[in-house]
Amino acid sequence: MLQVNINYHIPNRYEKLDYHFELNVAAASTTGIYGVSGAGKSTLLRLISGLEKPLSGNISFDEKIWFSSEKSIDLEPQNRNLSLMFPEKQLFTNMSVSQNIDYANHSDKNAQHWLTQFKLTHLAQRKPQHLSQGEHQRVAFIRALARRPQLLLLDEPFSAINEELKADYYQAIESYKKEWDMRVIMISHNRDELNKISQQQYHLTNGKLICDNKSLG
Amino acid sequence: MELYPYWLSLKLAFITSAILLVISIPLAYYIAYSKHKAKFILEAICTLPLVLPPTVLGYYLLITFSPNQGLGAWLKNTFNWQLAFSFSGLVIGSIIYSLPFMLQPIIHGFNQLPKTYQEASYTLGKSKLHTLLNVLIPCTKPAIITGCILSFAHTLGEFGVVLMLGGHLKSTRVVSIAIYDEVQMMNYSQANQYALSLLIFSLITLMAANLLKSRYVTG
Repeated sequence: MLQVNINYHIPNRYEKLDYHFELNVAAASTTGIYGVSGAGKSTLLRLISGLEKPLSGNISFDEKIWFSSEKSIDLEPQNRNLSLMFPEKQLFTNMSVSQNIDYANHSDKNAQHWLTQFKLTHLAQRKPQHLSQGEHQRVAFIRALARRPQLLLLDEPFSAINEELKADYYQAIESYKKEWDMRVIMISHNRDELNKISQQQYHLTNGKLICDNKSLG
Repeated sequence: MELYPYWLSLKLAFITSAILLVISIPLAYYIAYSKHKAKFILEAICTLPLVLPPTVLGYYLLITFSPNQGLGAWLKNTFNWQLAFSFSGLVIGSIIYSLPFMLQPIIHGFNQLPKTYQEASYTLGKSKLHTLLNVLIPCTKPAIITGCILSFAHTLGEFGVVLMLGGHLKSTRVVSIAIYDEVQMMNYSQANQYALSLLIFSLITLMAANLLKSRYVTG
């Protein structure tokens, strides 16, 4: 179980909003998060991953404490066994697509295997600067998955991928989640997308997460 | 025309650029990514040689390295190492004088990289050193090459610091000093030969290095 209970604020020239994030993510489950732009969705993933430091609170993963303001524990992102797929371009331009995947690879499959599975073998030797936005997202997703994380954090991962292709990626999340006992947190503006793959959803508004399972029946 | 000044200039430029490369990458990394306020002081000190007249820098180095006092005397007495009026002194002077020419392009190169490169690497489980060696440095290669070109060319044409620190000795007579000496002796044809060859050599070096850089950028 991933347990998050943290406080944070982003000092802003125009407004100062206090955040309180509280959520639990069960093993082998997907949690969807939605909210308007600027609500703090990406900030939440950065806090969980250790790229930003909460003001106070706790983050724990199973028995392991990732962050505790009381105990002065703050693990580096490297020690949290997670992958974060950013909404921006993130593939390393000094490496080919294959090399980018191999860089992260902690699974028993090599880059060629991953590319074959997602029907992207034709991109293997291509540099990221020669990929379309959709191709970039697909490769970035594969790289995040190839790390074989315990926690997969996805920030608008499929915004540039067409609907027909998305099914393969939803299927991959579903199967690796079970195979690896992986937790997934996904941010998306697309509620239909979240409804398809998540077991619970949170609406981030006014700095707080509100559990919303109406749409999941 | 003597060939020794050419050899000395090239040796000085090579050694200076190589040492600067090793020093500047960690220094640029700290200045580009550290959140510590002390980095602004460090960057200002490292950039000082850009605005300081070479004679001022040369004067202070001469005083510092003088075997009669302070650090220079201690080095002389302890290690029998004299920096003033020696090639070693020229190398140290050149490193300080050319530091901003290597450092600034690399800082700029690091700053130009998207922040997500570092963060993606960290969240993929890679250490800061692994990220620096495998992602940040390779992605900053054109900036590093620019730094090498600029510091090499700058050291090759260095005059003020070398004159102050090297004096008029054969062992410290680089091409720029040789030109000055020949002019002082009204020996214009010799001065012309040194000047023209240095001009052509500098131009060829810059062209070759820029060609190499463009190959990295496009490739």
